Amino acid sequence: MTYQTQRKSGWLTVTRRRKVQEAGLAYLFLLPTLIGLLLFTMGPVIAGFLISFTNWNIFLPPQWVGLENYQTLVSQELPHKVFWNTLYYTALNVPLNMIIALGTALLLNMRLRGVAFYRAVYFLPVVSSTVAASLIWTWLYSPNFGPINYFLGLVGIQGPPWLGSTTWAMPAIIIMSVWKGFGTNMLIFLAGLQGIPQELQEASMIDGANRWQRFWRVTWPLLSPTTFFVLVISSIASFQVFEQVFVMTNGGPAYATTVLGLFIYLNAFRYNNMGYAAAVAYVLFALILAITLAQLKLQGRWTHYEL
Amino acid sequence: MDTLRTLKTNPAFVPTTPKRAVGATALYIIQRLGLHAIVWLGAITMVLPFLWMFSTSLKTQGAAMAYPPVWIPNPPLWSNYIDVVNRFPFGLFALNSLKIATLGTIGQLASTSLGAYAFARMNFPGRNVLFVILLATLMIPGNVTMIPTFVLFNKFGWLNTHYPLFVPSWFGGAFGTFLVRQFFRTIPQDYNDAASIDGAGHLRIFASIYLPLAKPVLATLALFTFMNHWNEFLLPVIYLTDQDKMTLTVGLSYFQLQYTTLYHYLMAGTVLSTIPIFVMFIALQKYFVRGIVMSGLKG
Amino acid sequence: MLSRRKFLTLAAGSIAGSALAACVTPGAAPGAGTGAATDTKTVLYWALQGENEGENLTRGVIKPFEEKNPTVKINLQEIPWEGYYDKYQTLSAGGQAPDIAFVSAAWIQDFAKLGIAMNLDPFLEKTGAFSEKDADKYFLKTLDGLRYPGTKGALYAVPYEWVTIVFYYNTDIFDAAGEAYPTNDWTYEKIAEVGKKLTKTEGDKITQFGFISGWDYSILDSSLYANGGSILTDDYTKAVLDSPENEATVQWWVDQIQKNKIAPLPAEFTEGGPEALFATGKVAMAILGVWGIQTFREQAKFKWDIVMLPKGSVTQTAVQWPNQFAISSKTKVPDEAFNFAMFAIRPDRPADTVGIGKVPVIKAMANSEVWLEADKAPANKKAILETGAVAVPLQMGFRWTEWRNAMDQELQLSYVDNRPVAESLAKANAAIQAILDRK
Repeated sequence: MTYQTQRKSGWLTVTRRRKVQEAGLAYLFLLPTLIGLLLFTMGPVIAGFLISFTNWNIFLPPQWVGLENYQTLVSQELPHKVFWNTLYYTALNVPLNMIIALGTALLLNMRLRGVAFYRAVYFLPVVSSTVAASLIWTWLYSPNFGPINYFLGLVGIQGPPWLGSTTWAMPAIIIMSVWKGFGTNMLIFLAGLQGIPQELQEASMIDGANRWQRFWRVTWPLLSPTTFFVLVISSIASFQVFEQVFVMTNGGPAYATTVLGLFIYLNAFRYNNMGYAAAVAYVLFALILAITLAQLKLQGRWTHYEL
Repeated sequence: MDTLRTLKTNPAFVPTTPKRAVGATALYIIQRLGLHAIVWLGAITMVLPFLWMFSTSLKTQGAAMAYPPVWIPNPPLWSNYIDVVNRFPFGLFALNSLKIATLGTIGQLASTSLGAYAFARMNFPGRNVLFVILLATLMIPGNVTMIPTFVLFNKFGWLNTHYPLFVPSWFGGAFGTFLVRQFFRTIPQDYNDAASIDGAGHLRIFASIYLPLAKPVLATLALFTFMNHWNEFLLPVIYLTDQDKMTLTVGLSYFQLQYTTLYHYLMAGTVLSTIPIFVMFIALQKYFVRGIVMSGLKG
Repeated sequence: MLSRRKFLTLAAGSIAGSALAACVTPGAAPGAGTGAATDTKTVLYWALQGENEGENLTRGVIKPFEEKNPTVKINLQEIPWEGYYDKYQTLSAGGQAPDIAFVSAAWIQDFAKLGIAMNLDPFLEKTGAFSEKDADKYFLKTLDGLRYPGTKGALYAVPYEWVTIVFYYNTDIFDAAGEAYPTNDWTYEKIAEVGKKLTKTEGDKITQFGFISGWDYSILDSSLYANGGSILTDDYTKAVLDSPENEATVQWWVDQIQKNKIAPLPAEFTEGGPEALFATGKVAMAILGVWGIQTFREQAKFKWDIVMLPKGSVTQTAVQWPNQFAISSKTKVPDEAFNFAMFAIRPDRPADTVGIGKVPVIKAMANSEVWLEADKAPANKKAILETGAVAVPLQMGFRWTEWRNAMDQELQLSYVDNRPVAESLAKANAAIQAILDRK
């Protein structure tokens, strides 16, 4: 606030009082958030952190085992595979999802007849339940009888056994996930595009910029906060992918689609191995934190507004 | 909004209508046709799995799994929909879902927009640290907090009630707060400055400037929150015991028996349960479409 | 590939069918039957296994039980199978466990070891239930799957009904090919031989399969035992999967996909599991659980029947396991809970309240005309009882859900990616042992 820069001493006290008042009010605004953070997140999270140092089957009191769960995690082969599977999924799913979401948002931001209908149609997979969608896709992927391989056969391609193959199961899950999930990001991109003032587009048109140049010079920079938001949220969600894997492959064949979300769930709720599950969850947490911090650091370089 | 400000104050900026060469018209038509073709192709890809879902919902149990697949059932069994509604207290399940989703959404909008304003436009010690902590909570896998949370709600005496399903939404949330805060940051600080000179406090600025401008983003958040509550499966299963308190999603899984799935009923039920969200999406859509946001900025 | 059905059963750690939990909450005083004012309430959770199951339970057990025991009130809650295990487990952990629970056989060892389920031996001593003289009354062999430790320990659940594995064949396909129907005297080699004749191809694509192959416990395990192999030692403490007998057995199953090409990749099972594939009429023969009967009665548009599983190199057998009631160790009304469980298997329970394909543990009911259903498919339903006479309990033991998944994941590489069977078995064996040994 500009008037705060005045150097009269009287102003300073007023400013200080104002600051204290403002801080108090801010905490009042944040009261629900803070209560929720402590009660529903931090509490359980701290409990979970302590659990990661124990051997706990949920039914009997936990036993303190120190770093044993973390050691198991490092020394065993399977958790490593699971980490790579998760990275593989994320590395493909996030960019694919974002490119298709942005492309669709750009298309559906144009003056097209029936654009509202198209937007609704593209968003349809998002509003359906993941379990139902997974059931449908399992059938679509059936190697001999499913329609995907049938269509591929029409253009002379012999389709792979999809979910039955260690090579193709993960790509199959990714394709389904992009189909199911990009509508959310499309919507956020659309909201972002709507926020770009028309004058800017018009101004650059006068400058003789073509569509492509206009996108890179005007739309892309102004969209950067949205893009950043989408990137962060999608990455976090991708690292935790669970339901579609759970329903479509249960992690198979031969662990090819066992991702961290599933691994944690199975250990915690099916194998009564809560301490180990918590340790894996904390490693996942650390991984996500590192990647998000890296994204936050990089953000300054390419987004238009600072965080 | 440096660019915008420069543009507005730059005397050299004089809007004129862009010229279009006559020869470009044919190209333009081809472009438009291509555009429509792409949009249509995408739409068909999106919809095909649902067509199959709908088609299955009109089949008999046996035909649902038939090879080769039948796309148009003959005759279509509309009675499946009647069966689905009659087999279980479907109306009651839907009402429970509606109650939980509505209460959760209202609480989420109220708590996150307040928090977002504080993070976006107020100065207080620990702001950045708190914000990073909040963001970090997004990364916590939900599976791990489930058991401690269950113990907590058990202590509250909330088992077999709807409270555990919507009360947490009343206390903020990282996704919503982040989404709204990002939006609030695009509103020029000048508004705050001008309003404070007029003697308006933060509460008034929040209520009379920020909230109205944020309609599109709040509509988006409302849709997501409602959808998440509506589609939630595991929590209702764990917290609810009495059948008359169950939600629609849990109700649908009554068609998934241990060794068989009553596929046709499951799909009919899924179609029915998807319709409310779809309608809600269409209803809220105009908010992001009209770009109310920027009209505020232009004025 | 794991189908939806498979994931449900596997994930829930269960093979055994239904899961029910009942909650006996005392209304006024725990001492039931001491006065007119005493109104003991029993809340029953029932996980849905088949259609009309809640209805059957209400008619066959709950209503008559309440009439006989006016001080006990049963409140049935039907819970979807999906999520049932999570719910049961979370409730137990939170000290809210239902007093009597209808649980899967796969959970018994864990529930016994963790002190969740009550040791029922004191009740057996008191009431004399399931003693040797009851051998004519009940299928006592089913109890072996419900003991801890191993198959000789104390009883931790009351069996309700049991299931096993049989050999299904599509009569129409056999007729069309002019082949003789399978009999109880078939061998596994015979399946491969006839399967080749009944497989039809169109270019690269197989349009009619002779047989179905898989690594699933319901498909694979019976043949392991029939050929003299085993997964665990009798006390369930050591893995013995990497034996030469098992290698030959698993190789046979892999060959039906890879070499003989008479069976589809399990990825073809999609949502409905192998049952749905057989129900389409595109498969001539299949080794599947008796729960398939319900599916095929509803869906199959062809004639089909069953016989016993073929003879192995050592013996003729199939795996078998019960569905049962377990009583919570924390219950305040153990007597009522136990009485209810025993009432559910009283000899005069109406025979038409048994789930399709499942066998009641009461012998008189299983041998009745009503259960044999001469007028419905399969015509040879007695093959289930013949199988029961030679069946062995499915080996489960501690942490079954976990080690079975590890075993399946390792075997999958041989089925779908041609990894040598010996290598898969060795890896699976090590994985099982590590899980059994974990603290």
